Amino acid sequence: MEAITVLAPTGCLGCGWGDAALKRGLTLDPDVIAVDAGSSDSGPYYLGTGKTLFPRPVLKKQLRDLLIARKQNKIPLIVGSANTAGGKPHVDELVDIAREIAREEKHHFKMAWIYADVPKDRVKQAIRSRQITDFEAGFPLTAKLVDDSVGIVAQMGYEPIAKALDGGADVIIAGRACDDHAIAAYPVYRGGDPALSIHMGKILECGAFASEPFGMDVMLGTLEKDHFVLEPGSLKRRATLQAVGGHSLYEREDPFSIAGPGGTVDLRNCEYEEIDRRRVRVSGSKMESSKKYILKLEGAKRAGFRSSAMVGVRCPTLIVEIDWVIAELKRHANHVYGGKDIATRFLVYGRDAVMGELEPMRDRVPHEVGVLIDAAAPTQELAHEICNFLALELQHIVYPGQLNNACNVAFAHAPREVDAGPLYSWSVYHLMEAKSATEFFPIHMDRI
Amino acid sequence: MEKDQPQLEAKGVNGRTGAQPENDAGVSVPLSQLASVIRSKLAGPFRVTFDVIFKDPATYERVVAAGVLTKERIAKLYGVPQSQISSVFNVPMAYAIKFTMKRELDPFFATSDSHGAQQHAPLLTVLVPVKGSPKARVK
Repeated sequence: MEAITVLAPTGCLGCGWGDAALKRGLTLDPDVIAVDAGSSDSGPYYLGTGKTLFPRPVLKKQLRDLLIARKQNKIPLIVGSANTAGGKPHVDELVDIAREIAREEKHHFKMAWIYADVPKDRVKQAIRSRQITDFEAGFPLTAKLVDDSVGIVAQMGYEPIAKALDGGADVIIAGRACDDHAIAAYPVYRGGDPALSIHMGKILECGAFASEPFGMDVMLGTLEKDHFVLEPGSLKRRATLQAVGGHSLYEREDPFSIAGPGGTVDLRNCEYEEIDRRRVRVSGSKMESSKKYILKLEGAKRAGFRSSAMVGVRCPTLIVEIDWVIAELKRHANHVYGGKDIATRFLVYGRDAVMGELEPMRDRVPHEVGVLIDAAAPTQELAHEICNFLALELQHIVYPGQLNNACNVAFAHAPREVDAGPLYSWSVYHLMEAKSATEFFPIHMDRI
Repeated sequence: MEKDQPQLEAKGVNGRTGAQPENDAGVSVPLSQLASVIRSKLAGPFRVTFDVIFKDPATYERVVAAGVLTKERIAKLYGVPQSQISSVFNVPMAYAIKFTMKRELDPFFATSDSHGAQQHAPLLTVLVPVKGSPKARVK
């Protein structure tokens, strides 16, 4: 097998990279550019709305740079988990951006796009035939939750992307995909060991995170028959034993294995070796194939609309009574608006807003706090009204020990409320047995 | 390994680096003085995973041996039942101790830390006893 070099420009399309690092990376003759573009970290909002974490002009600029790099080096470009959530609207928008760039730059290429949406009837059928298990959500998936979901996507493995490559695609825009598999698809397609490819993909999907200093930047991985070598694009960064070993911990629970749709990669016998100041060689990743092909599903359902207001409190008499005041305001809101499927939340910044009940120092009295007021309701108008009501009540409430009777809080903004639009919650975070690796991932192709 | 890496012994006896006396007349230093990385981050929407990474194997082994990051101690530090800590791993290849905590999401507002990225702060001040014969305690 020939060595296969994958260039990952960044940890997430939208986060960007250093231009010099990309330029240098491209001189190392990569065989493919592959980049992850999605994450569930920012919550179900993006899956629910079809929106993207990054503004369109940002995505367009970065995709343009990658398409130019692709053309210059005559290599394929793979994007996984398009536009944050990888649903149909997300794939369609990124495909549209790619077409726009191709027109402007007069590029011609064969583009494939792969959807990752799972039909609701198919999920309900899987519930009936007991092919769904809770992953970590803590609740069973029901037909009602499926019906209430706006979008349900499955994280594809490398197989649909490899199939698109086999069909001659130069540019692939994939819907929701396992981050590591999207990067691994090309090396596996070229005959690389799947375990090593996925392990390498797991590290490359974060860009130069596994280097010192770490950063959203270019990282290259070269796969050989029985090992792979990591090297940052920027000469100012180094892949080190600790950065690469430490990456196996990052944003996952089990540092000794990588679970995926077709099996688990066992990292227990991996060996890491610094081959020079900037490069690390990794070997020993082993695949334990599973009998069934198990996909992770993600679904979002609407949970109402939100309005929010941020206020500041400096007077110590209110700071010590803030919990009493908040309880009073919640009681007032329930009295006036209760029974309408509403919710209110107060986060006391400067005390325990970030950690809540986990905060060991929540009894310490701060000299100043920010109070974020959130109201949720079935309509935006009602959420706005409740938020306005809460801010007004807080402004004028009489509390024990009060010395100022002008206004209890500092408003930094007019209007004080921000109407934030719809709220979403995770309705599906479950595992589902699929008939095959390509069951839910139709490939569309077009010559641009 | 880097030549300028901080040594545990030097820190343990150096008042400027935050060494503090322990009750039993031993010396303790906070984790922030021993670790090169202390972080928290989501591992999926319903888990927050915590990584404490040390600069060298010796420091890692001493902290493991000190037993300051066990399921019991972590649960106590965060004021949660032990059942909320879904796993604790010692990871020799990364000189790291790693644990993961389950989290529940509010049906409307989900959480106040979407990435789970600011839940690690209490770990910085966890005290690690460093006096005595650390090697004897390493398994």
